[in-house]
Amino acid sequence: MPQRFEQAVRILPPQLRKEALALPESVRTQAEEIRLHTGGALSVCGAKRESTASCVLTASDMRQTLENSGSLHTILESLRHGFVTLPGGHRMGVCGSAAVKDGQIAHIRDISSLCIRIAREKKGIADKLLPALLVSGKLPNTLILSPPGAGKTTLLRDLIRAVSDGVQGEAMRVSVADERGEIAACYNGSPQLDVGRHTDVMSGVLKAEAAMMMLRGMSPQVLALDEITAPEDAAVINACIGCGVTVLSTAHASEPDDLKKRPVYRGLLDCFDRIVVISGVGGARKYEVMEVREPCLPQSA
Amino acid sequence: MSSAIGVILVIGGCCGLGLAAFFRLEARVKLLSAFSMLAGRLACEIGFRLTPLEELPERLPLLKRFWDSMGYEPCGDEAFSEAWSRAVSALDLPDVDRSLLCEMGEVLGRYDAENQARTLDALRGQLDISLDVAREKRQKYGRLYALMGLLCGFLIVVVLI
Repeated sequence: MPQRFEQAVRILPPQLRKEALALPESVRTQAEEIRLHTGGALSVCGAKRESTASCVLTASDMRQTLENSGSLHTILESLRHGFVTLPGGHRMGVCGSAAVKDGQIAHIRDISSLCIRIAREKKGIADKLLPALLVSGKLPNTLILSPPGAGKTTLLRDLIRAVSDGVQGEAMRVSVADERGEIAACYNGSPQLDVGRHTDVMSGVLKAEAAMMMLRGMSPQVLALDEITAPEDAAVINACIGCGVTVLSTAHASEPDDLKKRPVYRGLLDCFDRIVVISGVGGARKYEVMEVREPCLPQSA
Repeated sequence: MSSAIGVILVIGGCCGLGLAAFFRLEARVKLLSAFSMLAGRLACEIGFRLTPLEELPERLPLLKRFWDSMGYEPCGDEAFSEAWSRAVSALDLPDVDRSLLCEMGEVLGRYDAENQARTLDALRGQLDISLDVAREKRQKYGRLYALMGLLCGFLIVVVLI
């Protein structure tokens, strides 16, 4: 875990990086987020506490951090959506003044705050959950729910690994629509985070588009996509389930009833057989598996 | 015997100076030609593939040697444009060419792909104009410098003797 922290702070300007690396090891090990505010300090948020470095951040520090996160032409599309995916699958949220051109965000300048969310790989968390999820050794359509920052992507990644490697049961071909590059963190075509031996990853493409591309080209048994947010994502999930592919996905919500309040998700609830609710943000996570309906198990064919 | 050695040394030294001037003109043509080609390739690589800066030397062997001379470290103390300018200033080129090449370093990785590609194409046009001038100079003065060196050598020998 300290290595993940070191990897995440690599984009900070050298002086700030030194300050971050000088923080106690316990802070670095438990770090979940690194927050930077112009005129404020660098703070590292862990599961239970927040530690602050003594430096005062300038506009130049913020600009340099953003520049270090990648070549602008490569990151611009995601920057327009308010975040940048960093090497290693970490995600940096960006706030500032938007430069708007023709009614669309062209760039974010005058950075006011940055939030680096450290991608965590917790191998084995899915192994404990799988017995409660599997039905006759097969994975049903599963939706993972939690508020932001509770570990949806971490659990999804480990579920993908477990299913792809056949940790409990038969190994399956998994296709991952990794729009933001957070699940597998591919670099030069090779996943930097363990997503299993039978996993195909499509990064940088809109989830719905990537899902259809992989459905046509990779003949997946399981399709995984993180954070359903748009009606197109919901439509593609319906289409995949209709094609006999098991879907593994996540959404922001504290409980299933939250989803009913949002039009995008209303129709989706009927598509999933199981819902995993993650609770306990800031401390040890608790996973609760809820049975929505009896699964049809398409992959048993 | 010693005067014969002196004659050879004087003529050889002057010839060397003439040839150095010739090779300098030759090197300018080669460098400008390489950078003009590189600007075109960079425009394609960035405009079409959106290749990140740090992957460019892998994809463009033409850039590799110059990149290595930059000693650029991503996320290091030195910004990319500074490292690029430093490497350009080490090239044996006139200031007018250097400023064009420095401009290339100012653009790379700083704007959207479309604007970078457009600027690189424009810079390529300017580099091609410089290249034409350099070729013309080489043709006009290249042999002349080499010959002048030799003649100067003979002249000095004649004067000294």
